[in-house]
Amino acid sequence: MVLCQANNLVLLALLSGVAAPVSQAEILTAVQTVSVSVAPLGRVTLPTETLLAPSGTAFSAFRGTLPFTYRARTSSGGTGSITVQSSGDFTPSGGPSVAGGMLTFTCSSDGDGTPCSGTQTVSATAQRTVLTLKPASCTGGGNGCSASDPAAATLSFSLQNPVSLETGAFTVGLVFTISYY
Amino acid sequence: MKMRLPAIALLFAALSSGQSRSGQGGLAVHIKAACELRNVRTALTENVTEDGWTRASGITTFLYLIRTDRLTGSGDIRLAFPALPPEAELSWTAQAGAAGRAVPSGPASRTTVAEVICFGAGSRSANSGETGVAVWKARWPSLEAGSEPVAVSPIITCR
Repeated sequence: MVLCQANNLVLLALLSGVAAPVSQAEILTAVQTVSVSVAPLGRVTLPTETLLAPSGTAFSAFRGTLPFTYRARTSSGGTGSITVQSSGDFTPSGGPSVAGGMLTFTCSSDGDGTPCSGTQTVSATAQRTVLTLKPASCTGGGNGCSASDPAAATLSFSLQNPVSLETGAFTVGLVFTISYY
Repeated sequence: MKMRLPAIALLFAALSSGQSRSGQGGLAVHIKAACELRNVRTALTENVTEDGWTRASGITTFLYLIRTDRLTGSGDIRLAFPALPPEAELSWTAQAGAAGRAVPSGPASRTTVAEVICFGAGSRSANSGETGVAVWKARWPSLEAGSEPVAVSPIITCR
């Protein structure tokens, strides 16, 4: 009888040790860390072709505007830029010449970027800066970013029209490069 | 009791810092035939009335800029004498610059316009222009001295 009672006591003690956690409410907390690396980004969107038109008298310069949009994000310690370079000279030959310095442009922007100042000459061998992006700049809907999304900028072109040009239709390609850090 | 979970690192963009992307655009322009006259000047060398005739002569100079179509173009410069009386007798000679061909001489009257310089396809003057010269003489019956000066109006056309 005593042994049974002792055994019962042991059993009761064991059961008490096991049952106690189950009978009390307990909350488990797990912490998981998620980290995101947001890299700088950039994208520029252009029209396929822009037509330059006579601006006045018989041999006055041809003029035209090329609007484009861009999206960009630069790091807090980085910068960025948008540049333009012609992909060659006007074709066919006999017409206007990029190499001759006949094609120039000015810049304007409604975004956070700083447009180029003064008149720039298009080159087939060197990129010309159109827009400079500041550190920690971003396009898109306020909250520290530019108001417009995407942001917009415009190049206003002027092409000399000397008498010596042959008649005909001439084209030149333009390559816009957006760099971001 | 704690649970351990693995840390999750998400790479939002697979690009590392310092990148560039390019976009292509282009410009197009149509160069057409064009022409222009500048600095038209007439100097009278004679304007007298005697023996029942008024005689006038002068030299008209002008600067012309011209570009005709490369394949099918043409053009000319003509002289008009709008104030000549119908009975006037008029003759002239002309010289052209490097672009164009002068029509050596010919008659004209108040009602006709004399073609003095002509241009073919692909004609292009110097960027600063070329000088054209026309020397003309006119006479008409008149009993009164001091007739009005002869007006000379060059006209340039091109295509």
